[in-house]
Amino acid sequence: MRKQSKIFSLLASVCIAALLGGCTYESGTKTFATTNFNNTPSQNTEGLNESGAEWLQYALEKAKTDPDAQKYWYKGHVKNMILSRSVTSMFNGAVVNDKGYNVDARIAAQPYQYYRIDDKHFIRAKDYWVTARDEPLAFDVLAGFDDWLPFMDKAVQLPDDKVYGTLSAVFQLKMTGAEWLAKSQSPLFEPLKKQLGDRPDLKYILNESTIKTTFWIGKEDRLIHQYQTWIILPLPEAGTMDQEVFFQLYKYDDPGIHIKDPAEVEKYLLH
Amino acid sequence: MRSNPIVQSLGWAVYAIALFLIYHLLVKPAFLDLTWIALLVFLPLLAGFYFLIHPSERRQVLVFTIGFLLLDRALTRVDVKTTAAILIGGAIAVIVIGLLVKWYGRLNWKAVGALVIIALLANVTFNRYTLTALSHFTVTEETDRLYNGDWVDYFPITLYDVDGDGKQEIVTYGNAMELPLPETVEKPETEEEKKALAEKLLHLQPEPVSLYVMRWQDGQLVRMDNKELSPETLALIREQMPTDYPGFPYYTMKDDQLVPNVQRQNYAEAMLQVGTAPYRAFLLDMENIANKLAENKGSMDLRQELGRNYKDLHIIDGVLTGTYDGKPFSGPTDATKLLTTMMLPDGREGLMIMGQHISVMTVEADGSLKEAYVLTRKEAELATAEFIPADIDHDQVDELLLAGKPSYILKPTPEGTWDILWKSADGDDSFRFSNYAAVGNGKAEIIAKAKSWVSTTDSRYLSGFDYTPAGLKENWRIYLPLINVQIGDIDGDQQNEIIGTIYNTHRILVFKQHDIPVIPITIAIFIGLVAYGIVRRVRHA
Repeated sequence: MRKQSKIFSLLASVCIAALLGGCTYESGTKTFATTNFNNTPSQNTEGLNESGAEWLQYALEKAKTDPDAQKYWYKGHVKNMILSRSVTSMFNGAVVNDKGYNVDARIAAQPYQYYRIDDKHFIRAKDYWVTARDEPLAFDVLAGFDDWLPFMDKAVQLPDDKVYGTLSAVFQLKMTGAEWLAKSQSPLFEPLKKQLGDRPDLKYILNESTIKTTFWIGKEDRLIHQYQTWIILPLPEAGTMDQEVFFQLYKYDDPGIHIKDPAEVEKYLLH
Repeated sequence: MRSNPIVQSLGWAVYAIALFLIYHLLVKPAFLDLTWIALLVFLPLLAGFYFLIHPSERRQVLVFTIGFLLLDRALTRVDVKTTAAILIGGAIAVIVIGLLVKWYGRLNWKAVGALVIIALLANVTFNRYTLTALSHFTVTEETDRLYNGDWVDYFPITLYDVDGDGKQEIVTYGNAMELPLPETVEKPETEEEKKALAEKLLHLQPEPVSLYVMRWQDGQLVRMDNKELSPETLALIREQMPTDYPGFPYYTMKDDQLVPNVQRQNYAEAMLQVGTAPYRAFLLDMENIANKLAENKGSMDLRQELGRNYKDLHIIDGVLTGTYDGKPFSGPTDATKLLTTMMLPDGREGLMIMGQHISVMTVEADGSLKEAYVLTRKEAELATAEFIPADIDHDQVDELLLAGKPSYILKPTPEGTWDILWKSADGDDSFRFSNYAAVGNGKAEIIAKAKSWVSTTDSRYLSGFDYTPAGLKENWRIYLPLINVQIGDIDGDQQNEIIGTIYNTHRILVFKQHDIPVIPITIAIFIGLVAYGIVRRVRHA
């Protein structure tokens, strides 16, 4: 029995020591953990001097004409970081060009699904399917990519990178919001350009902002596989807003892609 | 346990209480903090206890132990949506576990009665969150949910003496009173009901949101009626609230509403024109910023008072103006936020501002501004960091607690650089400073969210630390992932309470410090229980 008591006492003391032992969080290495801020090379590194404009132009033409590039999966998000808060909207699904797409989406922590096929549009929110009735935007997934072309002559080629196993050429460009707005031909920017006339405060925001866009274009298939834009804007009372817009287009021509028959949804329609 | 019936019942009840304390205050924290190390210690201990109990009593004691812990857990998990659900769920748990214990453990009714009564008392006599903090604190208040909307995960919380009575009020946002939850959710049946629901679901809806000022009254937090607060007081309260942009840029907080700026169909279609996605995101940001600037008349930030010496601070058109010790100053800046002030090695008070980088400005004799210290984005992730000045080594010079990934304690040197006094461990993305304040009536300490010492999961617990050259020495820990922590005297007893909430619960918790050595007492109970077991076994032999 005495032996048993000794074992118990030993175990009890180990337990007590573990619980009472003063815990001290020692310091990590006392150096700043350098971030990747401003890491963009200002000019092409040796051997990486292909034209970003040509690669993007070719990728857009091929995406329109290549029969093997007419259906693909996509995954994207827009992530906003302000002070200690981050808000993310997400978009995942598949596209069949000229037919339709489905979107598993989330806006400010509210999930929903959007389903577009031919001229039919449905939303699934809170477990109910309803018919979407707002005026639809054009079904053109690659819309807007050619708006980047005027900037691509200044794009810097970065070392090749893999996106889901696809070796890709990487091109990056960086500018201020003011430069983006001034040089862009996008009709989307017209209202903001007009608004700037009487808003010096907005001009200031644009001058102090940073826009950095990177394209990943497949080395072999010459299609766009990944696309990322960082937008850093001064934000009143909050330092800056850091925003990442990120999309991946992958598994081009995957035989597993099927946009379901609208009848599948219509039979569950709430209204 | 063959003495008289009352002693028998009491014996089982005392065992249940000891079990309850040991499980919640020693075993659970050991597992939360030490994970597999706790398991290594615990398994041989369990085996030891198994053989410590005499074989003739083993079944009864083991079944009682498991039955009690099971019933205690079952009662904490009972559905709390309605009183009827609580009563029915609780009764089922009591009957099922009571009968199982009686039948399988061959226990007498006195033991079963003691088991049920102690488990019930442990679930109705105090706030169960107390168990996560009992080593140093008790939970004196847990509010109802203050927000019933669909999407906001948390609102900022601040403390401010609204009514000038010397007690701090808790200020946050909510809408539980404006948006009460329906008693039951009914499925639409008729065509009209379906149509009405479809209309509602089609678009994101605005939500009401109001300032919630919570005052300590008769031992609990009670919301003050905003109508009783003058517009001047409300404006002052709003100025105290930390800047927050919930849902930016998809929602805007405006006129007591959270208004959506995008809609499901259009936003999905817009983002599915993938090439335009950054253009549209940028435009949405700019629209929100333009509205905010128009509302602020072009002003980036404005503070009537900051720190000891700064007043009338204003950033507008790239210029920072204000007064320092009554003398006006101005200078160019690209900052958009006035953060805080900190005492510098030369005895002056520096003004910390934030743009793309962090700057600590000092005011020169000629009224100009000088950037005395800078912390760049190259050195630290600043966008989502928080900055807490604190004189942690009591030399009248403030250090800067930088809460980020990683977190740092930075000491300003007379040469205008930063000395790193401490940095969170490489690869630890969980650690985050929260406050520097005195809890109870003690001295000021560092309060931070820190993960378990061993675990690789990111669950974080609120902890109090003292800075020592060897590192941060832990003083206490609350095993809850608390956020938005504030420290202040809300009940007027001259002792500071901890106020916080848990992510996405919108309930405010108040923790009050006590001086009872709970852990040593529980350890003594544990040792006493083991000693009793040994004595009993020896007597049996």
